[in-house]
Amino acid sequence: MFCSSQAHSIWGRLPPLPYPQSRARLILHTFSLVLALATATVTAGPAAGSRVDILSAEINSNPEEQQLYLRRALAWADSGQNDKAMADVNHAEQLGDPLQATLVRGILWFRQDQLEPARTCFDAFLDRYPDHPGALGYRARLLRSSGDNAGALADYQQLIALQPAQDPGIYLATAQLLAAEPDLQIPEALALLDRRITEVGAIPQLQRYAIRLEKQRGNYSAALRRLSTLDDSIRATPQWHVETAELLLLSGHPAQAQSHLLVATEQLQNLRPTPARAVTREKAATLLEQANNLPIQK
Amino acid sequence: MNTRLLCAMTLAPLTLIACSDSSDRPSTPPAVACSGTAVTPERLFLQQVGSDRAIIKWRGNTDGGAEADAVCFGTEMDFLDEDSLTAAEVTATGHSEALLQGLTPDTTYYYSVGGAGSAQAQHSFRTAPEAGQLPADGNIRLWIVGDSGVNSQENEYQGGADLVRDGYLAWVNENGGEPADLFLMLGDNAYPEGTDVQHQIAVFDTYPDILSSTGLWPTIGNHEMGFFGASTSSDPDSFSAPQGGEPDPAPDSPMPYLNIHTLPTNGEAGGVGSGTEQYYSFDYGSVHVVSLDSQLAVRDPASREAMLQWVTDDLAANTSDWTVVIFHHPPYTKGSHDSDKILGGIDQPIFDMREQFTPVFDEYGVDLVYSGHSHIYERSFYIGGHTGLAATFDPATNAELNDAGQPASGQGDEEYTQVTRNGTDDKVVYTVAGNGGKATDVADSFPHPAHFFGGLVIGSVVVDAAESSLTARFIDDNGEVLDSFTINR
Repeated sequence: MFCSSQAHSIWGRLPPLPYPQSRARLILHTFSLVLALATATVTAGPAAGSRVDILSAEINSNPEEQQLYLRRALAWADSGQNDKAMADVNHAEQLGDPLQATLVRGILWFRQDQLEPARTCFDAFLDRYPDHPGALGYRARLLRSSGDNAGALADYQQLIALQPAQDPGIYLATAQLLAAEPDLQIPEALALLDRRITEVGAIPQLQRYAIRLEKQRGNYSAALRRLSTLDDSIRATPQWHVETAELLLLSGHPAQAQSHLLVATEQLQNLRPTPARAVTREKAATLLEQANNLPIQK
Repeated sequence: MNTRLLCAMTLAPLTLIACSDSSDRPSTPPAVACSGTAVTPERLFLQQVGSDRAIIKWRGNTDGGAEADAVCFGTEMDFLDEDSLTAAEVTATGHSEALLQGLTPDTTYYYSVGGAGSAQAQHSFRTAPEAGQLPADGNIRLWIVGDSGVNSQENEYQGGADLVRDGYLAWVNENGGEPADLFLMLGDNAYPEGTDVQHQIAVFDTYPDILSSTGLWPTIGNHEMGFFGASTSSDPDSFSAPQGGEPDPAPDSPMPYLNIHTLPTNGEAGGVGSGTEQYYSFDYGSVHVVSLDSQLAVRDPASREAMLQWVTDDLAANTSDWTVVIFHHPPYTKGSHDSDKILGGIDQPIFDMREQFTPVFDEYGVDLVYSGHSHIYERSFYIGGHTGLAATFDPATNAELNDAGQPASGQGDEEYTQVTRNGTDDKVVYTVAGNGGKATDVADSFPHPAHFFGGLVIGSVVVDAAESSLTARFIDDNGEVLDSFTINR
């Protein structure tokens, strides 16, 4: 498909709600009232209109500057005026490298959940600039959303290769895609997670997923080892003892599981009650019953 | 028999020194003061002030001379021992940061940037008490400011942050003079794009004395994300700033917020390490603070999932008396943003935080949530279990009720108790304080039914956390308390 400006718009899909009743009180401070009158509508940060206005003024001074039109396109889109946004992108396309406009057009489509035209735009842009991190990130998310896991995986891997200091979520997404790949599956995912864990520590965002993968493939001893690498403060919680007990039960060590469950139960008696701790207490009781019914290994 | 001989004959060797006169003491070199020259940086601020460590960070020299490359510090303002001389590391964006370690909890330290032998009075800070403890004065004070970055944008709101700061300081002066132990910024700290230059004006030039004496703990706002705060990208590389500044140079992130701040990634200040500066937590005595990223991390589903996993683990491991969570996008607001409207994707994080994160706060005993973004002060009842639009809020099921069956105010005989009538710690007070520099508007459907109080007025919040109670106050630019509530343990 050509990276075009034609697609269905979904802007403004939420209707306004009726005025609610509440005991809330409103204080109108004199100074603030003056400020309030200066802003006519509810907008994102400074009024989107003012952003458009500033850019329009700059465009008047520099009518041939492509980047100004592209920035104004995003400003129009933020205020829900998608037709004007696309008009600016179309105009910008005539003023310089058309691929710069192509990237912004792709972002506009992506933000409207128009994945096919967005993908065409990102593909065109990345053909020329294959190492552009922003475009790679956008296309990776897009491809994953549209079910092209192999394509998404390739983009995420390239992104990590270009910039290893990525947010943990990028590693998590990549590991999830690796684990879902028929030819690669769990070992590759764990290898990626462990590479990052070596660099930043056993952060729960990554190690928790690794534990899930170990359980998924029935390697409970490895899951236990990973559980023991979590932060000291996590390992001091009743939740951690219950998780450990669950894995010990799965791996056939009811006596050790009992010990952890008793520790968790005692801890819970001394901690402030929260809904999460109530769940942990119930789970500990259930597991303790299981442990008591299993034969103790000699 | 002289006294010295008697001591030598009758006392154990360990006490011999105590009996001796000074001429007999083992020779220890006399303490020598640092001999450097004090430098006044263009920006000076404290990061990660904990019970045994602190980071002093600075850049520039107001005299135009060489920048300082070290600090001296100590517990006496007029004598900074040369042994304390600590060299700074210089970052790619030219910030110098000196990590002070081995500090004593709940102790006042003085420091000199440049390594002079004495300190200026405003160059001091107090370390946190040990985790779980209260400081000697029995109170931990948090000062919370949101969307205060108005001074760096030329419009009618310039100066609003100064008024808010002065109102807070006036209230402090009239109420015992206790300074804040923590300074929390709720995002949109530097309008309109969060460039380095804008941070200088809106943060460092606006709060210089507070920043040189109080640890700063920020969260990311949409205006830290570049061009007019409109980015819906999860990628710091999308930072662009055509107005008044350029992205930071490689190898640093292009985003100045991430370069200016040195935030804990590995549990250095308590809490569970997150592996990223985008979100983090720390302990300050009996208070646990979590800073979430409702901008970058929330934009990407996988990053959001990762942050959700982390905060769940962090809160599960938290046993502090009080827990405060900060992030920029408010789950419940009817101010200049409406938590019922996604606004073309710009306010999608409002929905994500409400739908996916507030249940975790309910489950894991969070007490207070502070956000900005909406330029108003709004404070909720003590609520839980509400993840829908405003019309779905049901006081009978979502709010802690008073004896009359109405949502309790948190004031007078309706003060909240941390463990609610349900017998568990399952409710949270949500406050929007995006009025640290401007108060701009209310939504057509104002007020939100979850809110007890709404004020279209500029101001800030002071939270006082003591052993058995926590009180939060909203203080306007005149130093007047317009709203308050108390939670008892």
